[in-house]
Amino acid sequence: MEFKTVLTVCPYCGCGCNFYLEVLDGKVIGTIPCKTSPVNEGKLCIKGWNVHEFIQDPDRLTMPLIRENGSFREAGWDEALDLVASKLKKIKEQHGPDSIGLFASAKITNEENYVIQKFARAVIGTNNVDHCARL
Amino acid sequence: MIEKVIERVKELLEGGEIKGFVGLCNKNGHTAPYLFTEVAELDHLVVGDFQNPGDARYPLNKLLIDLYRAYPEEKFGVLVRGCDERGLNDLYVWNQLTPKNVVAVGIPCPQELADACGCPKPYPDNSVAEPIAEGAEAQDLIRMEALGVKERFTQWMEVFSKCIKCYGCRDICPMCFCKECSLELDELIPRGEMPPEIPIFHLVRAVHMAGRCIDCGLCNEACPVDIPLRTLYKKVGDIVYRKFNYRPGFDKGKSPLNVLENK
Amino acid sequence: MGDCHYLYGNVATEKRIKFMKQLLEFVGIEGERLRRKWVSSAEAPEFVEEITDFVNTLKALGPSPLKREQKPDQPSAKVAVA
Repeated sequence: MEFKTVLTVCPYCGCGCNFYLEVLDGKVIGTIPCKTSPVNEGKLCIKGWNVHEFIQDPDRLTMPLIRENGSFREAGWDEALDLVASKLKKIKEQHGPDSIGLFASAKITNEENYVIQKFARAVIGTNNVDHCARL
Repeated sequence: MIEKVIERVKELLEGGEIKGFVGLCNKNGHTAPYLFTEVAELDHLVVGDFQNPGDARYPLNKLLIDLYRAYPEEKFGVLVRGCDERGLNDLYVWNQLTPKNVVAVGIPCPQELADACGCPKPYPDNSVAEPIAEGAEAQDLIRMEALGVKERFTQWMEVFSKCIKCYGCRDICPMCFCKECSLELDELIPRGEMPPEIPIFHLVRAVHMAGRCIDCGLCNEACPVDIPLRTLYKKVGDIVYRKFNYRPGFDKGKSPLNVLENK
Repeated sequence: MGDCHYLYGNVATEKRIKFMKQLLEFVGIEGERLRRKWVSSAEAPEFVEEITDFVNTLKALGPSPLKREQKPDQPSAKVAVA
């Protein structure tokens, strides 16, 4: 028998609520908001309360999928990233850099967000950068 | 007090009487629900007084139910306050736990907390220490009842209208153990409809708390928009006490309102 | 009481009505808006009399406070979230 509570941060929005995941014998069985967290003070929204359900949902994507002839096929990261890179390159050549836009996220670090805007401006050559709160 | 709790749990664990103790521990600077299985871990045990008395309480009975469902043969200890013990009594009545698998290790609450809760009995019967506070009156309920019907309507509708339908009140409730919940019944509460229909959403839950709520106040603390749910459920409990002479956790058997029988 | 076709049906109803009236009063909805009367299917005149009386009571009370709640400046339309 192994039961533990794991303090973690909600994966949903940028608010960063803290909660405990209740893990019984390796299976996540519940979510409980952290009372002593200054961020959410023991409160959560409906998405946070149900984290234990969606993190282990069988429909959750676990590897990159590439669409071919209208259906998806599982692929490795190298293949998927190569495909994305070549397509982006092609779009830029055919339609110009402003035909591409990048969306950053409130759930990643400042440094990662910095890299995204740098990539947009310096590599692709567009100012089309926005973030997830306006999606 | 904490020393007495640790002493008692140590005794239970060393004697092999219990498989584990469901309590609270200090971890990463936070208070967390925790299952103690080793005596060595007990140094980190706390009773849920983080900055103020009882400000880091968790629905430990709910964890106990999870453990009981997974390990119905094992016996567990659990940290209880007056309200939690009432909860245990009522959970036994509803067959969610059995007394032979549970050892309650109780702590009395200080007067400050008892007054804030308006708790009728701020101490458990199975306690490591003598009561240090007397039962307090529910001031919030008295205040609300003193208002006129119209004033009450305005106040309730105002707070209900803030609801973001997070279901936190239900999810944290140690007495909510139903597999199917009326709050998820499409006919009553249409899925995806925001905001929820008021006061239907809150009254459906209030009705289900009748003869069930043991007044721990965790719902109140979990509500992101500060709806005074505790006052509402105190009233519901008050009605059941006055009309049917039954208080969950105090009186034996099921609430007369909740059972179908010819009396 | 107790001679209900559905066995304890009317006993349960009696308990719930007693409870519900008080709860409604507490949240600011007049208890008189909820009424229970035992009328058998063979007692048409009693039924008519009761309903007429209830309608009169409701008219005297005025529109439901829940109806009054929806002021024109408040958005009453529900937002459906996908």
